[in-house]
Amino acid sequence: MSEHPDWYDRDQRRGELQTVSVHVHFESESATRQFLAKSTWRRVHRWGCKKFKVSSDACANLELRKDSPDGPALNESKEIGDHEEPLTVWLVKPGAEPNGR
Amino acid sequence: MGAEIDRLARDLSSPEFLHGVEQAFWEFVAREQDFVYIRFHAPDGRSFIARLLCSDYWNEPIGCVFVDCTNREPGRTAWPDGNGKFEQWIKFRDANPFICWDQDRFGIVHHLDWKGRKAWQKQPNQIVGYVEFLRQMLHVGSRGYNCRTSNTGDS
Repeated sequence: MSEHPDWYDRDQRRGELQTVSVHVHFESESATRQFLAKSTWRRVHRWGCKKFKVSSDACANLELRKDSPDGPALNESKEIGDHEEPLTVWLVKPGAEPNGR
Repeated sequence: MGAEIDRLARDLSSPEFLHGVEQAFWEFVAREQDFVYIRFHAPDGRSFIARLLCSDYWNEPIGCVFVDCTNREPGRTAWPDGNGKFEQWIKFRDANPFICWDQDRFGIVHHLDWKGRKAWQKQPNQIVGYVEFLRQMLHVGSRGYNCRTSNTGDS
């Protein structure tokens, strides 16, 4: 007899709980954590700021970039997605842009 | 088709431009004569269409105005809004809104000393440099875009 009720879809449940290893860099520090594949990159951003003790003001001035500090930006509204290999991201401050004020 | 248009076509099909499409930061809408229309997706779910004047591409800066998403007509309501910091670059309250940045053709009209900098040639891919700037204005929190909904929470 199954240990789960009829409505329980083991494969679907496994997909929901899929985790991804994300290696986060900030300046000279780095840390790794498992995130749900369904989590958004925003969660990684917030976790990194907390981990590296970045103030909330400074945190809002950072963005996530893939693979390197100059890598392509990641959309923090999007899910991390299912990846077998660990991912590397950098929390970086975008360069200043001139304006006329 | 001039060399500057060939360069524009190449830049619009570059991996850097396509990465932004894949990430749903922006999407290519149309190219009509000297204009390229790009739709930007903000983190609150709103979207904005930028009409980028690309005549004499590379030799001249791109000129951006935001246009209505339906009829593609310019208008103040088509512009993204934000706080005072945001307004340092995006002059959305102006009677004739413009982008006050040293890589924007209409911004340079207000600051003629910027023209000599040729800041729009800092990156080899001019249009990606421009759309990246607009992406940051919408997605980097400290730039001050007015995120209107709660559609930005964790999941």
